[in-house]
Amino acid sequence: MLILGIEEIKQKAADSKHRQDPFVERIWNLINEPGLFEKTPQELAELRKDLMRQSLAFFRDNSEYYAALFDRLEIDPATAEKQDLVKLMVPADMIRGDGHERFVIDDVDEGGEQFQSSGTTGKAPVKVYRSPVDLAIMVKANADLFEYVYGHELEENKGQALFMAAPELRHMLSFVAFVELALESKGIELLYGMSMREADGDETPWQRLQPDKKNILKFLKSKEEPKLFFTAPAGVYLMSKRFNDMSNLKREVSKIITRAPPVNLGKGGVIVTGGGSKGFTDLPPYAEMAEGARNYFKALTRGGDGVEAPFMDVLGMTETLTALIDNHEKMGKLPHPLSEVFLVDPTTFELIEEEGKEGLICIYNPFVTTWLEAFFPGDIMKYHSSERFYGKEFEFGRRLTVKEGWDLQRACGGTMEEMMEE
Amino acid sequence: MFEPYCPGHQFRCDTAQPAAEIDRPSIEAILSKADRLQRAAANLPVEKRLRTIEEMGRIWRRRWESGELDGVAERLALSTGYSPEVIRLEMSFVAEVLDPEKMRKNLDSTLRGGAASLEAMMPIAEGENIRNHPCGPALVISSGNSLVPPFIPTITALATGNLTILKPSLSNYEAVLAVISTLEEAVKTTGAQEMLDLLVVSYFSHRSAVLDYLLSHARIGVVNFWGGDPGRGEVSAKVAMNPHMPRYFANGPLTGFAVIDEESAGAEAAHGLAMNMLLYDQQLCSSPTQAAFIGSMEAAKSFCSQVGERLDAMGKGMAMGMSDDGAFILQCARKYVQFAGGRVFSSNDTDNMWTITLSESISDLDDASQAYGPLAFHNRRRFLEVIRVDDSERVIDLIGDLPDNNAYRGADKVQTIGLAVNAGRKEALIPSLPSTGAYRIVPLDDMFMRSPLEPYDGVDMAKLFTYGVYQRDLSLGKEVLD
Repeated sequence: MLILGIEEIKQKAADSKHRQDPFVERIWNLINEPGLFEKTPQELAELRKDLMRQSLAFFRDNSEYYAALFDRLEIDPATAEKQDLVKLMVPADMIRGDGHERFVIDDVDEGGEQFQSSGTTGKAPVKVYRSPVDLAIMVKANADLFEYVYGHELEENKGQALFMAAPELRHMLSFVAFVELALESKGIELLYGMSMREADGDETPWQRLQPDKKNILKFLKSKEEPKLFFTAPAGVYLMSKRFNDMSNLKREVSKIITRAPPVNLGKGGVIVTGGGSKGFTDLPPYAEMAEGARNYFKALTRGGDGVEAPFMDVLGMTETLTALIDNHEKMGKLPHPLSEVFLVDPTTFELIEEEGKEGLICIYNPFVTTWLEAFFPGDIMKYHSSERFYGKEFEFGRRLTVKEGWDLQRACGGTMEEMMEE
Repeated sequence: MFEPYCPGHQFRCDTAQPAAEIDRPSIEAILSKADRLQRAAANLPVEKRLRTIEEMGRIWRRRWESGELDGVAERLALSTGYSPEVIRLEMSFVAEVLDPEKMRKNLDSTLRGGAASLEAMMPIAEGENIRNHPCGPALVISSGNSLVPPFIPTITALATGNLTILKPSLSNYEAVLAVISTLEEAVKTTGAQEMLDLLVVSYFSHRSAVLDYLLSHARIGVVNFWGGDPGRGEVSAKVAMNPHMPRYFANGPLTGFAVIDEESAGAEAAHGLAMNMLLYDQQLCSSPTQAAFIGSMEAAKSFCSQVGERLDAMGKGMAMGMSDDGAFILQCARKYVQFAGGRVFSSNDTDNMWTITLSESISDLDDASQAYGPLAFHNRRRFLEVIRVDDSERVIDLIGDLPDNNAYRGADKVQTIGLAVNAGRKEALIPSLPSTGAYRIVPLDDMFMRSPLEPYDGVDMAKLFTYGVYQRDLSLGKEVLD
């Protein structure tokens, strides 16, 4: 399995045969443009509309499949509107197994990576190929969005991160890949809090995960700042519960050995959860879980003032290049400025414009060049108006159920959650 | 709790079941009288039998038109999931099954010796005669999703003099009783008490010991099962063990196929196709679920749009009661078809969510159904797949291939072919269509309607419930031996 470092990705992206295509060139420049998050919602909406049309034209010209599909759906890239995007949204089941292959452009850049879902539903996992250009965009776009929601840039070569995943998952889960690559690009040390033991019989990778106590201990004892703790909500919950259940004596001993509880995240420290709380049945609601965890996780502002430990949640999935990220109690879930995120009525697939009304969330990423990334992950969400760059902030409602026709497709966070049931 | 209906007999119930069932001793007692009852019925003049059926129809119409049965219709709509409008239409069709002239035509055309052969020897050649005798007792395990189908075999079995045990479903039990109980009042007028003595109606659960006895051990002459697997296979296996070797005929799940050519793709064809899609939301074995369009793609698109307009107009008044979950699944299903290569014409009105998919030469629904389970045949309502083809040969292939198509898994094959083609094409098609395995070839707009002369799924119902007794005065052996 080919695993690329961030420099390799950048180099391969620069060498891409599509880099000179006007659309790819524009995307590349926009993603790397410093002022993207300073644009107004209106400016961004207009930009996205223009990009959508250019993106559709790109796929029409680079894929016989899309040319025929647009014809069938009566979509003219030159005049396409958001309603046309609704026609192009696909559910996860459609890209299970080899399903993604037909969506990939005819002359795709090789040398990228393929990510996949856990496959824990018993069906073939969703597999999505990402070209080097897309990988480079993934790292830059997600890192920029992360820093916006985090509140400031991550300083290079400063701090330490603990990710409650195993390094072997780097080539499977896009969330793990993005975190590793983004931290690598910043020169921030990443510790994996889990490891994968040898397979015993037909065990899945998820069944082979075990805590990497050495790395966890290293993180707990570290005096680096900021400390970034990446985990599924269940990871924070279980760790908090363990601290809570300790006898006074045990707690004192733990403090001597590990310096925790509480876990000191230091200046700028943050807990980053993946995918909200979906699969872990005993988990309390997110707000309650975060509140409880704050007794055992402490953080400071960058200036050194005491602050409630910040919680950020990343709603990412195999099928989308970028995530939606929130900062608990500060801002709702925000997409990347160039992502077109909207809600539709699940019974009619008609656009929902009303604020506060629940709908099926749809995500279209015009900056993806490998396939036309228009996808609905099966989550019911709503939005409220916002002064921020996107003009809207999204709030997770619930995941559609199997009864509702949705065969549970785990996002990366959900997959991570499953790892932690033990 | 639904009670058995058995006006000519004493019986007890096994109330431990979900619906009360006639218990085994009572069934045994009734079956022990079968020969006597069937002999008595066989001597009943056919005219009297037909008059009794006519009287049933009259009583039914009176009750229906007076509003006495409105509550029954409402409950049937709820239990079957059909719109109240469809149920009202079905209620009016009951009178068709109870039409004595249609029954007479059916008996005359399907029984050698005609209807009269049910009461006496009838000549079929000089010195050679035939009389058709009931081969019952008959057990009819009827379909559960509508009202008319249970009466097609039941009325025929009664008219041909069989002791008839009818097992309705829990969904249509009340409505079936509302129809069949007219017999009790009818015989008061016609005096055909013998027919009333032939009737036994009871629910039997799938695990019923009494049903098991009836199928595997009882002295039954014929079993007629309506439905698909696994029930069909289980019943078949039990009947095969019965030492009395009853006849077994299963009316399995079938579907309809429409053939339209460009020259005939006008308003009339669009109307006919739309109407047949809306009736019973395509749950009839004759309902068109797949269609071939012979002509250009542009003409096919235009025709699909026309059918859509008709579905919009006619379907509005026949609310299909789509749930939110069902609507979401349907929206996903449409996407699967589009992304697999088909075009989709559709409505988002949740009371009338019709869908027409249009594919080029091959069934895109085949692949789409493979990829998306909820798109399965039995989940689709008001959903038609149209395939544009160049010629009649491709039509024949599509009809023949339907049982192997993932999108139609659950249907045995095509029952009804509805034609809207020009005269020349019809002439070319007709000789080839019987070899596709289909049972009926009718005009497109009339796919749902049956003639009294038609066999039912390839078999004449009256023949199923009778056997011919041959009698000859002449000795033929002498000529051979001399």
